[in-house]
Amino acid sequence: MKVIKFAVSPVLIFAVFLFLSFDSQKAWSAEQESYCFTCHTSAKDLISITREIQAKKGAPPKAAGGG
Amino acid sequence: MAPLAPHEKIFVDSEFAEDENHGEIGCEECHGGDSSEPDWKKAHEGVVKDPTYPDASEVCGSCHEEIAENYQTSLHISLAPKKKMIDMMANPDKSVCAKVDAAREGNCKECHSSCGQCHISRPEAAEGGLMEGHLFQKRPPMDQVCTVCHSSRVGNEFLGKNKGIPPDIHKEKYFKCTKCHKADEMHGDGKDYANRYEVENGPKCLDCHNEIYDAKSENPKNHWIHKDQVSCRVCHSQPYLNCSSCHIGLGTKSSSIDFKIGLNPLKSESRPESFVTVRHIPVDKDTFKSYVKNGLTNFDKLPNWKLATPHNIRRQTAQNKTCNACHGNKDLFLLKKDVERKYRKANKNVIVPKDLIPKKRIDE
Repeated sequence: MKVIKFAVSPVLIFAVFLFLSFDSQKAWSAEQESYCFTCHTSAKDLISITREIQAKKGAPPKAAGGG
Repeated sequence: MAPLAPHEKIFVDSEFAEDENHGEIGCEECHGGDSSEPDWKKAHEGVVKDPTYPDASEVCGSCHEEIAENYQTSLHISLAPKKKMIDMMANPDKSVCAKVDAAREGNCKECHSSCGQCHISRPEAAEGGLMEGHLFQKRPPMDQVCTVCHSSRVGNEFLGKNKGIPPDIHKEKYFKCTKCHKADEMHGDGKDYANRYEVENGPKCLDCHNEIYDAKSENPKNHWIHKDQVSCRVCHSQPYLNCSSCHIGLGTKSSSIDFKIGLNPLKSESRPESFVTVRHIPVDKDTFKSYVKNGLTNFDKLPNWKLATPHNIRRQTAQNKTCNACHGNKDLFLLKKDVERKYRKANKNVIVPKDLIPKKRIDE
């Protein structure tokens, strides 16, 4: 019985470690290392990019309302 | 609703990262592109603006399985009744029918929604743009989602924007659309409905007003007399918008505020009333004329005065002030003379024969 306990504990610890590191990896990806997030949360960057796009495109099309 | 500036449409609130569910998912997991690329042009290669349309099963469905499963049957996504009705009216000639279908795909199908276009951004049909910086809206905000598409009829009625006509009483009680139109109805239930009035979990007045037939209620006698005879709206709607002659690309020719009671074209167990409010819809024989001639040769198969559920309910209306405000009042009913000669056949099941108009009451 003791042998089983000794074998299970490291496996459990390793599983918890894997779960935590995977979870934090995702959050890290979204907030820290993503250029999407950095740029899309900066109004200043977006203004300059959308102006650049607008200048190439011309006037935006109008939308129509329905029922 | 004020339009969004181009940069506002794509601005993401940094608070989004703190969303314990969606904030932990990398942008590229839903939208594609390359989040590690500093050059925005290269980073956007392969980016999908709305990853929830036409198929939400991968992005939303990985967590919201049940909702995604029925997604394709949501009328906001499939617009299935529209296709069914146009198919029914279309010319049976295969080559003509194909052109009608292309016209429908190219024009009518633009007005769809999606998970994203209700919970994250404004609908694309109304220029789109992220709401609240991509923070997920559990209940789609009425003014940014529902009434930007359902604007000229339902929206204007509900909000009281038709000149001289007060808003819906429920609006004055601060109701939003989602108070009556619940998620189950919006998300679809896996069934393929022929029209929105068939949707089983759609709202019914009696869901809230179930006491109207009780002896102790305010007006039980009148409710009992009219039960299953007239829809609630026949007594409680105010005049509403009717549109006519829609030609693709040219809009409607004319519209008018009117109120008409017609025969119920969709009589069923759940909708047993003989009389309902009907609205002229903006479809006519030439709707697809710019695509193909004689596209809708079977136009007469469906009425263009349709069962309507105006959203401008009031307890007291012009037609329910007294019995004879309605009884014997021919102006309220859709008569033969109200329908253009060429559309009489299409509307034969809706037009009220004069002898069916309730007689004036002499005891009033």
